[in-house]
Amino acid sequence: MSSANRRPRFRLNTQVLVFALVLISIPWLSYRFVAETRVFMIEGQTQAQEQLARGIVTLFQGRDDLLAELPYLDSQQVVFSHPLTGQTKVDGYTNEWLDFQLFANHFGSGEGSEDGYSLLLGEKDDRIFGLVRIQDDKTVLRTKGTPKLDLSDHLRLTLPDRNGNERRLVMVATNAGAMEVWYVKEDWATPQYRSPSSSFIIKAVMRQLVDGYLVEFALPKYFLNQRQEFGLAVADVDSEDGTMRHLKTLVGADTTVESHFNLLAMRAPEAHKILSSLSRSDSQIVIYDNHLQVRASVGQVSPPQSEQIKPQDVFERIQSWLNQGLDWFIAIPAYLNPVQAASQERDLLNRALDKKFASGRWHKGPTEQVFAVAAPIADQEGELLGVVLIKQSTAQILGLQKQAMENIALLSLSTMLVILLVLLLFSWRQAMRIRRLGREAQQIVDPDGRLRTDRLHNETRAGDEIGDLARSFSGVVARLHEHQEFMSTMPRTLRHEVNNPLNATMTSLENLQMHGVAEGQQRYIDSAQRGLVKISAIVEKLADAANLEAALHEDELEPLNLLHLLQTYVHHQNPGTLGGLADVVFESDQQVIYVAGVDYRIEQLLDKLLDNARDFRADGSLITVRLYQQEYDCYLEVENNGLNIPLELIAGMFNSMVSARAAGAGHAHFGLGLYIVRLISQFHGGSVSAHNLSQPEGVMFRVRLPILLV
Amino acid sequence: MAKHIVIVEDDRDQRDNYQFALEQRGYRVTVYAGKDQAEVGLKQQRPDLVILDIIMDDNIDAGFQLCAALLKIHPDLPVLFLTERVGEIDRILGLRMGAWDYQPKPVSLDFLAEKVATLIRLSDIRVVTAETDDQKIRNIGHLQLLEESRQAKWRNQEIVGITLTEFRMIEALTRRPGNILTYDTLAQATHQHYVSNNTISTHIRNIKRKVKKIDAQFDAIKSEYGMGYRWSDN
Repeated sequence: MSSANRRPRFRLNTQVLVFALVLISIPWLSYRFVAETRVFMIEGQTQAQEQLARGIVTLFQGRDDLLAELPYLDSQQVVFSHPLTGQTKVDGYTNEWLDFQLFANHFGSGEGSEDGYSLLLGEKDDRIFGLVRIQDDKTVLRTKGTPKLDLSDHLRLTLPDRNGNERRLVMVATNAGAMEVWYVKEDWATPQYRSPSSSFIIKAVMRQLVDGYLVEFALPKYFLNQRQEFGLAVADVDSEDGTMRHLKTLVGADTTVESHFNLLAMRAPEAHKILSSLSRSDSQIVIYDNHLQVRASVGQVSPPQSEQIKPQDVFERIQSWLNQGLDWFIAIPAYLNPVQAASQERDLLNRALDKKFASGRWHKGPTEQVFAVAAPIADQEGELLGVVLIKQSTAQILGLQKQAMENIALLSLSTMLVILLVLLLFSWRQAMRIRRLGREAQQIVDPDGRLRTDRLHNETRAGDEIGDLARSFSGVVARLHEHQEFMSTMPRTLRHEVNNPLNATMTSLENLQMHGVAEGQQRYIDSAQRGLVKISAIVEKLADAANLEAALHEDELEPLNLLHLLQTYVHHQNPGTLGGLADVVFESDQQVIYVAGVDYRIEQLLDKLLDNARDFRADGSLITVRLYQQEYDCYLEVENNGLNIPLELIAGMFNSMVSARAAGAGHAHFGLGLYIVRLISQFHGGSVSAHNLSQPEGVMFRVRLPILLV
Repeated sequence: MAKHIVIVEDDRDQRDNYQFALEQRGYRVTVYAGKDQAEVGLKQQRPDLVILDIIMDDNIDAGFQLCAALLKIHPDLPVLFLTERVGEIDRILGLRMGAWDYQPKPVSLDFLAEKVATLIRLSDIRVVTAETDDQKIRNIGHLQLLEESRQAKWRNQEIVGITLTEFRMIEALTRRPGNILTYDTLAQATHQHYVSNNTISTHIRNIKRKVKKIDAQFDAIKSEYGMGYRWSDN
């Protein structure tokens, strides 16, 4: 195998593909730019946040009035409400409470005890929200229609109005889901009237848990009195008839005791007002008092999640896939769950309580980072009043980054697609042109290596490099064809040019003879005439070969008994019939073989093959002529012992003017014999081939002819 | 009165040699070196025979053109092409134009003189004694050879278009029917310096074709492959 064949082959399409892949580095660089920009923006935002925190600290510095302790009684417990953000639904699920779980108030025997429960209160807009998680090994539900309300597990809510009267409400569940809310009499068992289920004034939902149940409720703020007092009790009933009832009391049912009410600590309105002016869409500012209870809060960390819209058309579907891809691409591999995040936040607050400026970052979700700053607020004497906590999400930055990347990706993809398509089309077209040129180049040469045409037609009018190549190649073909034509017409031309002077010389010699020549000069004239006859014979042979192709068109193929022809021919070749020794033998086990042929052309073919065999056979050896049939072809072989043909000559030896004979070897030879054999074989629809033999060394020419099926 | 022969040949040496040889044999010879001169000269007189070269100067068809022009004026004028254009197509074209014979170069002057004599005799016979038919006739089976007029008949029908060379070959083949005539013997019948086996075979093929126009079953000339031909009318 040549070194050219070993060289790896990169087709045009492959090269274009590699080029296209290189183009992908452009969007990658764009991504890097966007990522760096994100880092820069986050850094900038962190600094801005710190400045803001210092500013807020300055604002609240010494403002005891804003963060003064609430005037509640010692016996009353303060339950703080937390600012709820985002979509808040009374559905029994705790999504909106995740940030405040660590701030839950635990009641009963203790956290985790069988009769314990926890309470979280929150506020949003003009409503108070509550989340009560009750541990209960057996949840007893109310049977619909039962006249008493205290025969099943229920929650008791006491709300003193502004006139000092108490409103008593019982929240009881007949099954998981929406609860019945009843106004009851003083015995907490007799219902007075029920809050309409269609009303959203007071709404409660129960969800069963593995170790108890959970109640989420909401009521308007105006239900509270000025002191914002309320009472809440959990009644645990362990049997269907209510006999083993006992209350897990947060607030006793005895409403006469004032201390049984709790205070709901709301946000400080003045502080809230100050913070409102600093509110930002993607950040939350919370003011805690020195008990780490929220006194004011504005803003929210994460913007409300919009609902996933199902993609409608192909474009939206592509955009959705792209979004998912980008989310995956920019996703943060490890992030904190809400409890861990709350813990981080608590750490910051604790450090601020130690009068230290604290900041931190953590990942809240796969695509969101939160950075927070906590700063201590002190009074004139330097005593700690509270803490300001600013939390900000990178969601907006990430959103911007994602948007930028989406634009880059879309633009890059579209551009890449167009470029790739154009490049593929271009390379396909170029490859097609080159292939077409290659096909034509292959077809202009016949199996014997002769040019069929004198020019190329494909691509020769193109103005590019392929056109140049085609024109150059066409020029080479034209020159080669010219040479081929010259070689094929040369014998005819030679004969034409030689015949006239030859005729003049021969007729001159005849006239000279007619005039009479001196004694002894006749033999020179005879010698000259013999020489001229030889020249005439050579020219005649050349012309015969040159005219053969045209002459063959005049011949008509007829059914021909090839076996008989060969038998007769070899018989007449055998000089034994003329008294000499046989030098040609014929072998065939066929009875009859007919071909469509011209007898004297086959005879001419045999003349040339035998001339050739006689010239190259070993002295005294016989020439074998053989005829046999295989399927629809017959094979005529002429074999002689002698030297092999050099392999490099075999391919071209059936072309015109190709001879293996040494110059000056005996008779004049022009390498036309085997050329004539080829032409005659092809004229009969067959072919000829040469084969070297070994043991003994020799040469065999095999002519294949299609047999005539009679 | 000596027969008048016109030779049109652009090569001076050949022209002179033909002229000398034919004048030596008693003919009156006029020579022209080109087509135009000949056309002018031959308009004024009708010779007994015209010998034409085909390629003259740069015109490769000058002889053909001159032949066509002469035969328009003298339709029965015997024309002999003597040329180096020996292709089968040229030969057929020349004969179809109305030439009486087509002789390739190089040619033996003896043979040329004999051919000239034969053609003039044929012309005389066809013109003067077309109806007399008192010439010598040789019958070989269904074949008749009219030796004076160099005509051949097969089953009493004239073999049309038979050339002088072909007539000579038939004559040689039928001299000893049944015997093989080798290629060498047949070559001698053509009276040319060198004739290849292939040329002999081409002549034989042409003879067969012309006879088969009369009798499609004609098979009297047998091939003795590798040796020659044999006449067998059985």
